[in-house]
Amino acid sequence: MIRWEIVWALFRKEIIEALRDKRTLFMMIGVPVLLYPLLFLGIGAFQKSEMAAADARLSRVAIWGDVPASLKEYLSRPGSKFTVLENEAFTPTVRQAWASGRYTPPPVVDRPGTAAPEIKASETDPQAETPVARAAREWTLGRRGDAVVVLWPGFADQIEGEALGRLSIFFDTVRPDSTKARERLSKTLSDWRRQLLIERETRRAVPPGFTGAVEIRMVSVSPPERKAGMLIGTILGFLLIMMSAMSGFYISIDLTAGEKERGTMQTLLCAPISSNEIIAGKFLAVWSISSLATTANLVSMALTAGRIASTVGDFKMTPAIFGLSLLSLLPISFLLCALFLAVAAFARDFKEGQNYLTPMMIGLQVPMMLVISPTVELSGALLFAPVVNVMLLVKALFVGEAHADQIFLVLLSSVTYAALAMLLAARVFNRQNVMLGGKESFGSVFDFRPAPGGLPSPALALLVFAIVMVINFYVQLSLLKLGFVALLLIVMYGIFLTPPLAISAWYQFSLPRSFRLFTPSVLGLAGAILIGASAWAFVSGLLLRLMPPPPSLAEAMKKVLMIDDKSVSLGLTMFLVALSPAICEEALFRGFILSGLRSLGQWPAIAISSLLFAVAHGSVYRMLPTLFLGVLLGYAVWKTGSILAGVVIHAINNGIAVWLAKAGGADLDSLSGHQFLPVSWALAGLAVMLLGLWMVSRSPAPAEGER
Amino acid sequence: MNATALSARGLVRRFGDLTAVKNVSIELRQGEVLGLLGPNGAGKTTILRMLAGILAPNEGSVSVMGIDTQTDPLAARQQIGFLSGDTQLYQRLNPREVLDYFGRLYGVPAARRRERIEQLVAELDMASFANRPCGQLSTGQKQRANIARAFLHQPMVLILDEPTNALDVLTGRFIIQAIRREKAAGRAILFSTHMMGEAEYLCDRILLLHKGEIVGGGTVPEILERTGCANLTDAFLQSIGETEALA
Repeated sequence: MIRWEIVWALFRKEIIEALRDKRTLFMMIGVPVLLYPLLFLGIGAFQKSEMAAADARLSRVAIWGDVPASLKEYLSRPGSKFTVLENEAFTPTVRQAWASGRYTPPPVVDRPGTAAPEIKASETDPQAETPVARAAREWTLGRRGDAVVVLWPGFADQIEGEALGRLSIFFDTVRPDSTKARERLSKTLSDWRRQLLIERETRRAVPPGFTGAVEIRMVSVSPPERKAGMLIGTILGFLLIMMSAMSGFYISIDLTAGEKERGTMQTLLCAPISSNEIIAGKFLAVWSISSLATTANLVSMALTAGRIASTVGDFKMTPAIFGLSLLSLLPISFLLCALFLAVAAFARDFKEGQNYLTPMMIGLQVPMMLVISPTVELSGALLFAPVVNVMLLVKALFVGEAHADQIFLVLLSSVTYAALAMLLAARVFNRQNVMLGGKESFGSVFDFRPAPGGLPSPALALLVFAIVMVINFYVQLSLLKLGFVALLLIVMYGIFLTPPLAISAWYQFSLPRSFRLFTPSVLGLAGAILIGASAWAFVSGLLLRLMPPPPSLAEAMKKVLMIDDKSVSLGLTMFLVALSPAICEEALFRGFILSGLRSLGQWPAIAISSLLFAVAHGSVYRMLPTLFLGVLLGYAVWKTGSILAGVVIHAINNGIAVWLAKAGGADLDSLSGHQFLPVSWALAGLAVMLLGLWMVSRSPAPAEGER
Repeated sequence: MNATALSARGLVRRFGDLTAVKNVSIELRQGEVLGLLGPNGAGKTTILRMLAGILAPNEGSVSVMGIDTQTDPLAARQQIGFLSGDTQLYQRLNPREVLDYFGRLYGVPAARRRERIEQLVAELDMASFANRPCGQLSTGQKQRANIARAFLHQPMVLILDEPTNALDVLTGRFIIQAIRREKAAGRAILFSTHMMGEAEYLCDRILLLHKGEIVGGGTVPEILERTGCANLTDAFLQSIGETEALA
């Protein structure tokens, strides 16, 4: 027999307790009530802006063949949104074959009962395998433009002679800009055809609908596996990140707040182990479990994807795609596990941990839901947007469009964010009171008290690097309009030089020691001059052979060295490209960062600072040369104890590149790897460089206080 | 007089606006049992955490066997065995596994670790439950396993925060015997309690703590003589009254 007054008493007490737990209530009721309208509005606004942006963009369309004057006029009518490249992208071989009349238009489609042929969309056109179609596919899939209109031989004459002209539109169904171009072309060409029909019918006095004029054929250049890749890549990226987050979620709470709740955290803190060891051990545990769960999911999904793909097309998940997807998820799981651990450590029990982490999970899903739309692609600022960039990269990998540089930048920025999250977690675990279950605000972790006369710590050095990189990414993107000279000045003096100086001033570090503002010995300085004068020969003659950069890098370098800009004098170029980086990059990398890392010992400090220096150059093709230069610069500065050695080497090295390219008129192709410096030059350079290094190594050791 | 094992000078600890510990200095010698006596909320746990090097003082310093807990916290913690009501064991590990784990964290070599575990299992009569998950043990069994954990690496200083709290007489006896054994081996023991009888029975010296301050101290006879009280409870109450009157 149930006593209802007892049930009532129990019920009443539970409700009172639940209502007094404001945080849980907010998570249960407040968050969903606020979230869904916000999400709905956010996604709506985002899609609207995406559509507006897509509408505003001009479609880049190539037209191959003889273009009738009336069509030209139609395509350039006011309000039409085309950039027309007339026969421009027509490759010489195709042009030649075309002129010889080897190509014939596709057969007329017999459609009884219709006077004017309608637009036909065809996925697998028999014409899709002709050389013209192949060239059109390469052009469209290579993203040189959005669509190709092929006017088959004799088109202009047919239109002129009131016969049926045939054209094909090649486009990519997977790419939104390309389908947009198809849509626009379809509308414009239909209008044009209608106009032609009216003119013809009026001239011949035949009733409307009597004649045809143009047959328009739609050809999708997108192979079926791209479509499957798009679908699978989008779902997979999203799901894997969510799986990684879900599996990290509970285990991070259990290992932090859970341990506090069970009273084992203090037991652990009594042991002679450092907080960094604790975080490392716990992080590895969280990460292993999360990775195991993610891998299990990936394997299961790969099997399922196989089934999905068989229904969509001939999609094959190659080991390379599989491997790269996993690799790109690695920094994400690092980032999420470190962030979850850092935040969960503040909670005193499991419930509090859930309350802290649930908003993070939601915060993670919102941007991912925004970019799940097919119109969003991996480019611009999104390359550096945490988490979202990896999701887009997985999609790009599956569609077969990810470039080496994109993969590099996504991995680089993700590793940077993961490193920042790890630093945050280490800082939280260093807060004894937090770990003992005391209540502290999140803000207390960021304790930035000055350390007069001191040096930056390795953690601060890495933090400053990460901050500089993030600012650099975004500033470069948003200030491109300012022009190259202004941008370079802002990046060098504003982003590379100012933050380390400002942070040193805030912490009241010793500026001479942090930036090695000491005079080098004459021997050390002479050695630096020799290294600066010879290193480029070794790099261009030998190192570049190992990893030849692509032509696009030569283009970028041309821009950096301002070859084509006659308004920029040699002197100004020298100041911008040789002297400014020598001062600003040296102050950051061989000054602040190398000083911050010095407690790790000579070679680890030089190796890490060089790696960061190489990474900062932002291109996978420049990694090896810049890493090598970084080691030379680090060694010279370490041995001479003076930043001046680095500045001299850096300025001479860059100065020679500028002089060769601008004043010496060197062929820039040598930078793109088409033509290397002779090996004999490289060996001569190596000999001089070794002499310089020997002199630097013999340079009198700096006094203890100057190291 | 034996050498100093633990020395704390001018300890102050604040939590926000609250000053939990005010200028506390403690000297503990090898082979000595020092009792920290005070009511709940007197600051005992905070002081012991600072002495054990797991909480940094805002002011003052602590050295254990000559090692400063702030400049070399890991070496200092190596010299300490810490046990409190808040130090619990892993529910899904059994006592042997817990001891092995902490043996590794304290850097006890494998052979020595096995030997010590067997020795402690025998000394603390843990054989009947040493292979059962800690989550299934009674409070007394858990506390015995915890004592074994604190004693495992044979630290020179034992800091025990109310080790007999909530224990039955039988388990309490085990712990008291263990403390005596360690004292006989020359280890320094600092233990806090609010049970006056236990303090009187076990301690060579006693410090009376109230509202984060030391309000009296000495051997039990010295305290009784100075206060003119018949027992430690009265002496403690009188000491508190004195400070409050002074304040």
